[in-house]
Amino acid sequence: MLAYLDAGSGSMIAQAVVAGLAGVAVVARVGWRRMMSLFRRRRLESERPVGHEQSDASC
Amino acid sequence: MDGLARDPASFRDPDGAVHDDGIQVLRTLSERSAHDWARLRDTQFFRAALEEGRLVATEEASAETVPSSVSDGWALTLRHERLPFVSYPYEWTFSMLQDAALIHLELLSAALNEGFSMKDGSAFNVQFKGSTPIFIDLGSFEPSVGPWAGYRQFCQTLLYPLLLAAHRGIDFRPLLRGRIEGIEPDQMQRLVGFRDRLRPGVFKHVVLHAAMAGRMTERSARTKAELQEAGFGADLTAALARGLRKTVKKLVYRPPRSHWSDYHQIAIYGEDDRAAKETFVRQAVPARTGLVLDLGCNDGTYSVLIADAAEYVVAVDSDPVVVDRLYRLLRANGPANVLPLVIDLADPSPGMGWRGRERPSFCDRARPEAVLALALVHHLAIGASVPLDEVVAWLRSFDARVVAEFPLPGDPFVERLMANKPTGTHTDYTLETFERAVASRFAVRRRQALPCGSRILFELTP
Repeated sequence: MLAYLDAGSGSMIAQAVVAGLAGVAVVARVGWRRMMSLFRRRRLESERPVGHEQSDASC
Repeated sequence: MDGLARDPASFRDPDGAVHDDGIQVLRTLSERSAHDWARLRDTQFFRAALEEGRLVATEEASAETVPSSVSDGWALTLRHERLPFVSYPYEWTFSMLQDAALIHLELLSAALNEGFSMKDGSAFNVQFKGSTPIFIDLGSFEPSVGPWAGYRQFCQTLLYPLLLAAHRGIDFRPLLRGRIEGIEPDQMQRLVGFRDRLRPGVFKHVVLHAAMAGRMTERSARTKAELQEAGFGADLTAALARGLRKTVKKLVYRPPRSHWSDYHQIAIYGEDDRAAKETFVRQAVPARTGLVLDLGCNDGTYSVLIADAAEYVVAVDSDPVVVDRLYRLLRANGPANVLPLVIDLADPSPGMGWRGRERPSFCDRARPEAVLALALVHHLAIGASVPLDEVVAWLRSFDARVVAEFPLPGDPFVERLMANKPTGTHTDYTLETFERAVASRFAVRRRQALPCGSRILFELTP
Protein backbone atom coordinates (compact mmCIF):
# COMPACT_ATOMS: atom_id res chain seq x y z
CA MET A 1 0.00 0.00 0.00
CA LEU A 2 2.92 2.32 0.74
CA ALA A 3 3.51 2.88 -2.96
CA TYR A 4 0.04 4.38 -3.39
CA LEU A 5 0.39 7.06 -0.75
CA ASP A 6 1.20 10.65 -1.66
CA ALA A 7 3.81 11.66 0.88
CA GLY A 8 3.57 15.35 0.05
CA SER A 9 0.29 16.04 1.84
CA GLY A 10 1.64 15.88 5.40
CA SER A 11 4.59 18.05 4.42
CA MET A 12 2.18 20.69 3.13
CA ILE A 13 0.34 20.78 6.45
CA ALA A 14 3.63 20.68 8.39
CA GLN A 15 5.03 23.71 6.59
CA ALA A 16 1.93 25.71 7.45
CA VAL A 17 2.30 24.78 11.12
CA VAL A 18 6.01 25.66 11.24
CA ALA A 19 5.46 28.95 9.43
CA GLY A 20 4.08 30.49 12.62
CA LEU A 21 0.79 31.37 14.29
CA ALA A 22 -0.84 32.55 11.07
CA GLY A 23 -0.02 29.16 9.58
CA VAL A 24 -1.55 27.33 12.53
CA ALA A 25 -4.71 29.37 11.98
CA VAL A 26 -4.76 28.32 8.33
CA VAL A 27 -4.43 24.65 9.30
CA ALA A 28 -7.20 25.04 11.88
CA ARG A 29 -9.41 26.52 9.18
CA VAL A 30 -8.66 23.57 6.85
CA GLY A 31 -9.45 21.15 9.69
CA TRP A 32 -12.72 22.92 10.44
CA ARG A 33 -13.77 22.89 6.77
CA ARG A 34 -12.94 19.21 6.45
CA MET A 35 -14.98 18.41 9.51
CA MET A 36 -17.91 20.44 8.26
CA SER A 37 -17.83 18.85 4.82
CA LEU A 38 -17.69 15.40 6.43
CA PHE A 39 -20.69 16.36 8.51
CA ARG A 40 -22.58 17.61 5.44
CA ARG A 41 -21.74 14.46 3.48
CA ARG A 42 -23.06 12.27 6.32
CA ARG A 43 -26.30 14.22 6.36
CA LEU A 44 -26.70 13.93 2.58
CA GLU A 45 -25.99 10.20 2.73
CA SER A 46 -28.61 9.66 5.44
CA GLU A 47 -31.20 11.46 3.30
CA ARG A 48 -30.34 9.39 0.20
CA PRO A 49 -32.11 6.01 -0.37
CA VAL A 50 -29.95 3.01 0.59
CA GLY A 51 -28.16 0.69 -1.87
CA HIS A 52 -26.18 3.33 -3.77
CA GLU A 53 -22.80 3.12 -1.99
CA GLN A 54 -19.91 2.93 -4.35
CA SER A 55 -17.64 -0.06 -4.02
CA ASP A 56 -14.07 0.86 -3.17
CA ALA A 57 -12.29 -0.80 -6.06
CA SER A 58 -8.55 -0.78 -5.64
CA CYS A 59 -5.60 -2.42 -7.28
CA MET B 1 27.35 11.05 -29.68
CA ASP B 2 24.78 11.82 -32.35
CA GLY B 3 23.65 15.42 -31.76
CA LEU B 4 22.41 16.64 -28.42
CA ALA B 5 21.44 13.90 -26.06
CA ARG B 6 18.68 14.55 -23.58
CA ASP B 7 20.22 14.80 -20.14
CA PRO B 8 19.25 11.59 -18.33
CA ALA B 9 18.48 13.62 -15.20
CA SER B 10 15.86 15.84 -16.82
CA PHE B 11 12.88 13.57 -17.33
CA ARG B 12 11.04 14.41 -14.13
CA ASP B 13 9.64 17.75 -15.23
CA PRO B 14 7.02 17.23 -17.98
CA ASP B 15 7.23 20.94 -18.85
CA GLY B 16 10.86 20.98 -19.86
CA ALA B 17 13.94 18.96 -20.78
CA VAL B 18 17.68 19.54 -20.73
CA HIS B 19 19.93 18.51 -23.61
CA ASP B 20 23.70 18.36 -23.43
CA ASP B 21 26.25 17.41 -26.07
CA GLY B 22 29.35 18.24 -24.08
CA ILE B 23 29.60 21.66 -25.73
CA GLN B 24 26.27 23.37 -25.14
CA VAL B 25 23.42 22.91 -22.69
CA LEU B 26 19.92 23.60 -24.01
CA ARG B 27 16.67 23.66 -22.07
CA THR B 28 13.46 23.18 -24.01
CA LEU B 29 10.21 24.50 -22.54
CA SER B 30 6.58 23.49 -23.03
CA GLU B 31 3.94 26.08 -23.96
CA ARG B 32 3.10 26.53 -20.28
CA SER B 33 6.73 26.83 -19.16
CA ALA B 34 7.50 29.27 -21.98
CA HIS B 35 4.66 31.43 -20.72
CA ASP B 36 6.10 31.33 -17.17
CA TRP B 37 9.57 32.06 -18.55
CA ALA B 38 8.32 35.21 -20.29
CA ARG B 39 7.10 36.48 -16.92
CA LEU B 40 10.16 35.27 -15.00
CA ARG B 41 12.58 36.94 -17.43
CA ASP B 42 11.12 40.34 -16.59
CA THR B 43 11.19 40.05 -12.80
CA GLN B 44 13.73 42.05 -10.84
CA PHE B 45 14.94 39.23 -8.61
CA PHE B 46 15.66 37.07 -11.64
CA ARG B 47 17.71 39.73 -13.42
CA ALA B 48 19.60 40.56 -10.25
CA ALA B 49 20.40 36.90 -9.57
CA LEU B 50 21.59 36.42 -13.15
CA GLU B 51 23.84 39.46 -12.91
CA GLU B 52 25.27 38.38 -9.57
CA GLY B 53 26.02 34.93 -10.99
CA ARG B 54 23.70 33.20 -8.52
CA LEU B 55 21.73 31.72 -11.39
CA VAL B 56 23.28 29.76 -14.22
CA ALA B 57 23.84 32.15 -17.17
CA THR B 58 20.91 31.77 -19.56
CA GLU B 59 19.75 33.23 -22.86
CA GLU B 60 16.99 32.46 -25.35
CA ALA B 61 18.43 30.40 -28.19
CA SER B 62 17.46 31.58 -31.65
CA ALA B 63 15.64 28.88 -33.64
CA GLU B 64 18.33 28.53 -36.33
CA THR B 65 21.01 27.64 -33.74
CA VAL B 66 19.02 24.76 -32.30
CA PRO B 67 18.80 21.39 -34.08
CA SER B 68 15.19 20.50 -34.83
CA SER B 69 15.72 17.11 -33.14
CA VAL B 70 15.95 19.10 -29.91
CA SER B 71 13.34 21.81 -30.41
CA ASP B 72 10.59 19.74 -32.09
CA GLY B 73 7.53 19.55 -29.89
CA TRP B 74 8.66 22.36 -27.56
CA ALA B 75 7.61 25.99 -27.53
CA LEU B 76 10.94 27.62 -26.68
CA THR B 77 14.62 26.77 -26.18
CA LEU B 78 17.01 28.36 -23.68
CA ARG B 79 20.80 28.10 -23.80
CA HIS B 80 22.64 27.71 -20.47
CA GLU B 81 26.25 28.30 -19.62
CA ARG B 82 28.02 24.94 -19.43
CA LEU B 83 29.57 24.25 -16.03
CA PRO B 84 33.10 22.84 -16.20
CA PHE B 85 32.32 19.97 -13.82
CA VAL B 86 29.07 18.65 -12.37
CA SER B 87 29.18 17.50 -8.75
CA TYR B 88 26.58 16.14 -6.35
CA PRO B 89 25.57 16.78 -2.72
CA TYR B 90 27.12 13.49 -1.57
CA GLU B 91 30.47 14.89 -2.73
CA TRP B 92 30.15 18.23 -0.96
CA THR B 93 31.43 19.35 2.42
CA PHE B 94 29.25 20.67 5.24
CA SER B 95 29.88 24.31 4.30
CA MET B 96 29.11 23.58 0.65
CA LEU B 97 25.78 21.95 1.51
CA GLN B 98 25.02 24.83 3.88
CA ASP B 99 25.75 27.39 1.14
CA ALA B 100 23.61 25.39 -1.29
CA ALA B 101 20.72 25.48 1.22
CA LEU B 102 21.15 29.22 1.76
CA ILE B 103 21.21 30.16 -1.93
CA HIS B 104 18.09 28.05 -2.42
CA LEU B 105 16.22 29.84 0.39
CA GLU B 106 17.44 33.29 -0.62
CA LEU B 107 16.23 32.81 -4.18
CA LEU B 108 12.90 31.46 -2.91
CA SER B 109 12.44 34.51 -0.68
CA ALA B 110 13.33 36.89 -3.50
CA ALA B 111 10.98 35.06 -5.88
CA LEU B 112 8.06 35.21 -3.42
CA ASN B 113 8.23 39.01 -3.40
CA GLU B 114 7.33 38.99 -7.07
CA GLY B 115 4.63 36.35 -7.16
CA PHE B 116 6.86 33.38 -7.95
CA SER B 117 7.57 30.23 -5.97
CA MET B 118 9.50 27.03 -6.65
CA LYS B 119 8.23 23.63 -7.79
CA ASP B 120 10.87 21.79 -5.81
CA GLY B 121 13.54 22.21 -3.17
CA SER B 122 16.21 19.70 -3.98
CA ALA B 123 19.94 19.99 -3.31
CA PHE B 124 20.38 18.86 -6.92
CA ASN B 125 19.06 22.29 -8.00
CA VAL B 126 22.42 23.73 -6.99
CA GLN B 127 25.84 23.28 -8.57
CA PHE B 128 29.23 24.74 -7.77
CA LYS B 129 31.34 26.74 -10.15
CA GLY B 130 34.63 26.59 -8.31
CA SER B 131 33.67 27.59 -4.78
CA THR B 132 30.58 29.58 -5.84
CA PRO B 133 27.15 27.98 -5.48
CA ILE B 134 24.91 28.45 -8.52
CA PHE B 135 21.21 27.67 -8.85
CA ILE B 136 20.79 25.75 -12.10
CA ASP B 137 17.17 24.65 -12.30
CA LEU B 138 15.37 27.57 -13.92
CA GLY B 139 12.43 25.26 -14.61
CA SER B 140 11.85 25.26 -10.87
CA PHE B 141 10.40 28.80 -10.76
CA GLU B 142 6.64 29.02 -11.23
CA PRO B 143 4.06 31.72 -10.63
CA SER B 144 2.37 30.60 -7.43
CA VAL B 145 1.22 32.01 -4.13
CA GLY B 146 0.37 28.86 -2.17
CA PRO B 147 2.45 26.47 -0.05
CA TRP B 148 5.99 25.60 -1.21
CA ALA B 149 5.85 22.23 -2.95
CA GLY B 150 9.60 21.82 -2.38
CA TYR B 151 9.55 22.00 1.43
CA ARG B 152 9.76 18.25 1.86
CA GLN B 153 12.62 17.89 -0.63
CA PHE B 154 14.43 20.76 1.02
CA CYS B 155 14.21 19.01 4.38
CA GLN B 156 15.22 15.63 2.98
CA THR B 157 18.20 16.68 0.86
CA LEU B 158 19.45 19.84 2.59
CA LEU B 159 18.15 20.58 6.08
CA TYR B 160 18.26 17.07 7.59
CA PRO B 161 21.79 16.25 6.38
CA LEU B 162 23.00 19.57 7.82
CA LEU B 163 21.23 18.99 11.16
CA LEU B 164 22.69 15.49 11.43
CA ALA B 165 26.22 16.75 10.80
CA ALA B 166 25.91 19.75 13.13
CA HIS B 167 24.09 18.11 16.04
CA ARG B 168 25.04 14.46 15.82
CA GLY B 169 28.41 14.57 14.04
CA ILE B 170 26.96 12.13 11.47
CA ASP B 171 28.54 12.09 8.01
CA PHE B 172 25.64 12.95 5.69
CA ARG B 173 27.37 11.86 2.48
CA PRO B 174 26.72 8.12 2.77
CA LEU B 175 23.05 8.88 3.53
CA LEU B 176 22.61 11.14 0.48
CA ARG B 177 24.54 8.73 -1.67
CA GLY B 178 22.33 5.91 -0.51
CA ARG B 179 19.08 7.53 -1.60
CA ILE B 180 18.63 10.18 -4.24
CA GLU B 181 15.55 11.59 -2.45
CA GLY B 182 17.48 12.08 0.79
CA ILE B 183 16.45 11.29 4.35
CA GLU B 184 12.70 10.87 5.01
CA PRO B 185 11.15 12.71 7.98
CA ASP B 186 10.30 9.44 9.72
CA GLN B 187 13.87 8.14 9.41
CA MET B 188 15.30 11.50 10.43
CA GLN B 189 13.24 11.45 13.59
CA ARG B 190 14.81 8.14 14.53
CA LEU B 191 18.29 9.52 13.89
CA VAL B 192 18.03 12.60 16.14
CA GLY B 193 18.45 12.18 19.88
CA PHE B 194 15.90 13.16 22.49
CA ARG B 195 17.90 16.23 23.57
CA ASP B 196 18.27 17.34 19.94
CA ARG B 197 14.52 17.81 19.70
CA LEU B 198 14.88 20.98 21.74
CA ARG B 199 17.42 22.48 19.35
CA PRO B 200 16.30 25.25 16.96
CA GLY B 201 14.30 23.91 14.06
CA VAL B 202 14.48 20.24 15.04
CA PHE B 203 11.11 19.99 16.75
CA LYS B 204 9.33 21.85 13.95
CA HIS B 205 11.02 20.54 10.85
CA VAL B 206 11.69 17.00 12.07
CA VAL B 207 9.31 15.92 14.84
CA LEU B 208 6.21 17.81 13.70
CA HIS B 209 6.97 17.14 10.07
CA ALA B 210 7.34 13.39 10.69
CA ALA B 211 4.11 13.32 12.70
CA MET B 212 2.17 15.06 9.92
CA ALA B 213 3.80 13.16 7.07
CA GLY B 214 2.91 9.84 8.65
CA ARG B 215 -0.72 10.74 9.20
CA MET B 216 -1.95 12.46 6.07
CA THR B 217 -3.24 10.31 3.27
CA GLU B 218 -4.92 12.88 1.04
CA ARG B 219 -3.49 13.86 -2.30
CA SER B 220 -0.97 16.65 -1.85
CA ALA B 221 -2.52 18.66 -4.72
CA ARG B 222 -5.84 18.70 -2.86
CA THR B 223 -4.21 19.66 0.42
CA LYS B 224 -2.32 22.44 -1.36
CA ALA B 225 -5.55 23.82 -2.80
CA GLU B 226 -7.29 23.57 0.57
CA LEU B 227 -4.48 25.42 2.33
CA GLN B 228 -4.53 28.09 -0.33
CA GLU B 229 -8.30 28.54 0.03
CA ALA B 230 -7.91 28.78 3.80
CA GLY B 231 -5.51 31.70 3.38
CA PHE B 232 -2.03 30.21 2.94
CA GLY B 233 -0.35 32.95 0.91
CA ALA B 234 3.12 34.02 -0.14
CA ASP B 235 3.62 35.74 3.23
CA LEU B 236 3.47 32.38 5.03
CA THR B 237 5.92 30.75 2.62
CA ALA B 238 8.17 33.78 3.12
CA ALA B 239 7.98 33.29 6.90
CA LEU B 240 8.82 29.62 6.42
CA ALA B 241 11.82 30.49 4.22
CA ARG B 242 13.03 33.07 6.75
CA GLY B 243 12.76 30.57 9.59
CA LEU B 244 14.58 27.89 7.62
CA ARG B 245 17.32 30.34 6.68
CA LYS B 246 17.84 31.32 10.30
CA THR B 247 18.06 27.66 11.32
CA VAL B 248 20.47 26.75 8.52
CA LYS B 249 22.70 29.78 9.01
CA LYS B 250 23.25 29.00 12.69
CA LEU B 251 24.41 25.44 12.13
CA VAL B 252 28.07 24.77 12.80
CA TYR B 253 29.92 21.56 12.15
CA ARG B 254 32.53 20.75 14.78
CA PRO B 255 34.60 17.97 13.29
CA PRO B 256 36.30 15.26 15.25
CA ARG B 257 40.08 15.68 15.18
CA SER B 258 41.04 14.45 11.74
CA HIS B 259 44.13 12.43 11.07
CA TRP B 260 44.73 14.73 8.13
CA SER B 261 44.16 18.05 9.85
CA ASP B 262 47.76 18.43 10.89
CA TYR B 263 49.24 16.72 7.86
CA HIS B 264 50.97 19.82 6.68
CA GLN B 265 52.63 20.42 10.02
CA ILE B 266 54.01 16.92 10.35
CA ALA B 267 54.91 16.42 6.70
CA ILE B 268 58.51 15.41 6.58
CA TYR B 269 59.32 17.44 3.52
CA GLY B 270 62.02 20.01 3.83
CA GLU B 271 61.89 23.25 1.91
CA ASP B 272 64.05 21.68 -0.83
CA ASP B 273 61.52 18.89 -1.35
CA ARG B 274 58.62 21.25 -1.51
CA ALA B 275 60.34 23.58 -3.99
CA ALA B 276 61.39 20.67 -6.22
CA LYS B 277 57.89 19.19 -6.19
CA GLU B 278 56.27 22.54 -6.99
CA THR B 279 58.60 23.16 -9.93
CA PHE B 280 57.98 19.65 -11.26
CA VAL B 281 54.19 20.01 -11.03
CA ARG B 282 54.20 23.49 -12.58
CA GLN B 283 56.22 22.26 -15.55
CA ALA B 284 53.82 19.36 -16.06
CA VAL B 285 50.79 21.69 -16.19
CA PRO B 286 51.60 24.41 -18.73
CA ALA B 287 49.36 27.42 -19.31
CA ARG B 288 45.97 26.79 -20.91
CA THR B 289 45.66 23.22 -19.73
CA GLY B 290 41.95 22.31 -19.61
CA LEU B 291 40.44 20.36 -16.72
CA VAL B 292 42.90 19.09 -14.11
CA LEU B 293 41.98 16.53 -11.45
CA ASP B 294 44.00 16.80 -8.26
CA LEU B 295 43.39 13.36 -6.76
CA GLY B 296 44.20 13.16 -3.07
CA CYS B 297 44.55 16.94 -2.91
CA ASN B 298 44.83 17.15 0.89
CA ASP B 299 44.87 20.87 1.78
CA GLY B 300 44.79 21.85 -1.89
CA THR B 301 48.31 23.30 -2.09
CA TYR B 302 48.94 21.93 -5.59
CA SER B 303 45.44 22.71 -6.86
CA VAL B 304 45.97 26.34 -5.95
CA LEU B 305 49.49 26.26 -7.36
CA ILE B 306 48.32 25.26 -10.84
CA ALA B 307 45.03 27.17 -10.84
CA ASP B 308 46.47 30.00 -12.93
CA ALA B 309 47.66 27.57 -15.61
CA ALA B 310 44.61 25.31 -15.70
CA GLU B 311 41.17 26.32 -16.89
CA TYR B 312 39.56 24.41 -14.04
CA VAL B 313 40.79 22.26 -11.19
CA VAL B 314 38.75 19.62 -9.39
CA ALA B 315 40.43 18.97 -6.03
CA VAL B 316 39.42 15.64 -4.54
CA ASP B 317 40.16 14.16 -1.14
CA SER B 318 38.45 11.68 1.14
CA ASP B 319 38.85 13.80 4.26
CA PRO B 320 35.79 16.04 4.73
CA VAL B 321 37.55 18.22 7.28
CA VAL B 322 40.47 19.32 5.12
CA VAL B 323 38.24 19.71 2.06
CA ASP B 324 35.81 21.86 4.03
CA ARG B 325 38.67 24.08 5.17
CA LEU B 326 39.88 24.30 1.57
CA TYR B 327 36.38 25.26 0.40
CA ARG B 328 36.13 28.07 2.93
CA LEU B 329 39.58 29.37 2.00
CA LEU B 330 38.72 29.27 -1.71
CA ARG B 331 35.41 30.98 -1.08
CA ALA B 332 37.15 33.79 0.81
CA ASN B 333 40.32 34.26 -1.22
CA GLY B 334 40.01 32.27 -4.46
CA PRO B 335 41.27 31.18 -6.89
CA ALA B 336 37.76 30.96 -8.32
CA ASN B 337 38.38 28.01 -10.64
CA VAL B 338 39.06 25.29 -8.04
CA LEU B 339 36.18 22.95 -7.11
CA PRO B 340 36.85 20.99 -3.89
CA LEU B 341 35.08 17.64 -3.45
CA VAL B 342 34.98 14.87 -0.84
CA ILE B 343 35.50 11.56 -2.59
CA ASP B 344 37.09 8.34 -1.41
CA LEU B 345 38.99 7.27 -4.50
CA ALA B 346 38.91 3.64 -3.41
CA ASP B 347 35.10 3.91 -3.39
CA PRO B 348 34.11 6.82 -5.67
CA SER B 349 30.48 7.92 -6.24
CA PRO B 350 28.56 5.37 -8.31
CA GLY B 351 25.87 6.10 -10.92
CA MET B 352 22.62 6.91 -9.14
CA GLY B 353 18.92 7.26 -9.83
CA TRP B 354 16.93 5.83 -12.72
CA ARG B 355 18.98 3.16 -14.53
CA GLY B 356 22.00 4.44 -12.64
CA ARG B 357 22.29 7.24 -15.18
CA GLU B 358 20.43 10.11 -13.60
CA ARG B 359 23.53 11.09 -11.63
CA PRO B 360 26.54 9.63 -13.41
CA SER B 361 29.41 8.12 -11.44
CA PHE B 362 32.46 10.21 -10.60
CA CYS B 363 34.59 8.24 -13.06
CA ASP B 364 32.09 8.87 -15.88
CA ARG B 365 32.11 12.61 -15.22
CA ALA B 366 35.89 12.91 -14.98
CA ARG B 367 37.30 13.76 -18.40
CA PRO B 368 40.49 15.60 -17.45
CA GLU B 369 43.38 16.83 -19.57
CA ALA B 370 45.78 16.24 -16.71
CA VAL B 371 45.73 14.31 -13.45
CA LEU B 372 47.78 14.97 -10.32
CA ALA B 373 48.28 11.89 -8.15
CA LEU B 374 50.63 13.28 -5.52
CA ALA B 375 51.12 11.33 -2.31
CA LEU B 376 48.23 9.10 -3.37
CA VAL B 377 49.59 5.84 -4.78
CA HIS B 378 50.68 4.42 -1.39
CA HIS B 379 47.24 5.13 0.10
CA LEU B 380 45.52 3.14 -2.60
CA ALA B 381 48.13 0.37 -2.83
CA ILE B 382 48.71 -0.15 0.90
CA GLY B 383 45.85 1.64 2.67
CA ALA B 384 43.12 0.27 0.39
CA SER B 385 45.08 -2.83 -0.74
CA VAL B 386 44.60 -2.15 -4.45
CA PRO B 387 47.39 -3.91 -6.42
CA LEU B 388 49.94 -1.42 -7.81
CA ASP B 389 49.32 -2.63 -11.35
CA GLU B 390 45.60 -1.92 -10.90
CA VAL B 391 46.32 1.56 -9.51
CA VAL B 392 48.37 2.39 -12.60
CA ALA B 393 45.68 0.93 -14.91
CA TRP B 394 43.14 3.18 -13.20
CA LEU B 395 45.35 6.25 -13.69
CA ARG B 396 45.65 5.28 -17.36
CA SER B 397 41.85 5.08 -17.66
CA PHE B 398 41.63 8.88 -17.46
CA ASP B 399 43.40 8.98 -20.81
CA ALA B 400 45.26 12.09 -19.70
CA ARG B 401 48.70 13.33 -18.74
CA VAL B 402 49.48 12.11 -15.22
CA VAL B 403 51.83 13.48 -12.59
CA ALA B 404 52.36 10.69 -10.09
CA GLU B 405 54.43 10.53 -6.94
CA PHE B 406 55.77 7.20 -5.78
CA PRO B 407 56.87 7.03 -2.14
CA LEU B 408 59.44 4.25 -1.83
CA PRO B 409 59.19 1.49 0.76
CA GLY B 410 60.99 2.93 3.78
CA ASP B 411 59.42 6.37 3.39
CA PRO B 412 58.08 7.32 6.84
CA PHE B 413 54.52 7.61 5.52
CA VAL B 414 54.69 4.27 3.75
CA GLU B 415 56.03 2.74 6.95
CA ARG B 416 53.12 4.20 8.89
CA LEU B 417 50.60 2.63 6.51
CA MET B 418 52.50 -0.67 6.53
CA ALA B 419 52.42 -0.70 10.34
CA ASN B 420 48.62 -1.15 10.19
CA LYS B 421 48.97 -4.27 8.04
CA PRO B 422 50.07 -7.79 8.99
CA THR B 423 53.79 -8.30 8.38
CA GLY B 424 54.62 -9.92 5.09
CA THR B 425 51.81 -8.26 3.18
CA HIS B 426 52.42 -5.75 0.40
CA THR B 427 55.81 -7.17 -0.41
CA ASP B 428 55.07 -6.28 -4.04
CA TYR B 429 54.96 -2.60 -3.15
CA THR B 430 58.26 -1.80 -4.86
CA LEU B 431 59.58 0.77 -7.30
CA GLU B 432 60.22 -2.04 -9.83
CA THR B 433 56.57 -3.17 -9.76
CA PHE B 434 55.40 0.41 -10.15
CA GLU B 435 57.78 1.21 -13.00
CA ARG B 436 56.91 -2.01 -14.81
CA ALA B 437 53.19 -1.18 -14.56
CA VAL B 438 53.87 2.34 -15.77
CA ALA B 439 56.10 1.26 -18.69
CA SER B 440 53.40 -1.03 -20.10
CA ARG B 441 50.80 1.77 -20.21
CA PHE B 442 52.46 5.19 -20.33
CA ALA B 443 55.38 7.03 -21.89
CA VAL B 444 57.60 8.39 -19.12
CA ARG B 445 58.37 12.00 -20.01
CA ARG B 446 60.21 12.91 -16.82
CA ARG B 447 61.37 11.14 -13.69
CA GLN B 448 62.85 12.94 -10.74
CA ALA B 449 63.76 11.91 -7.21
CA LEU B 450 62.97 14.43 -4.50
CA PRO B 451 65.91 15.59 -2.34
CA CYS B 452 64.62 13.55 0.63
CA GLY B 453 65.46 10.45 -1.40
CA SER B 454 62.33 8.46 -0.53
CA ARG B 455 59.96 9.85 -3.16
CA ILE B 456 60.05 9.85 -6.94
CA LEU B 457 57.99 12.02 -9.25
CA PHE B 458 56.85 10.87 -12.69
CA GLU B 459 55.34 12.79 -15.57
CA LEU B 460 53.47 10.31 -17.73
CA THR B 461 51.63 10.57 -21.03
CA PRO B 462 49.29 7.93 -22.47
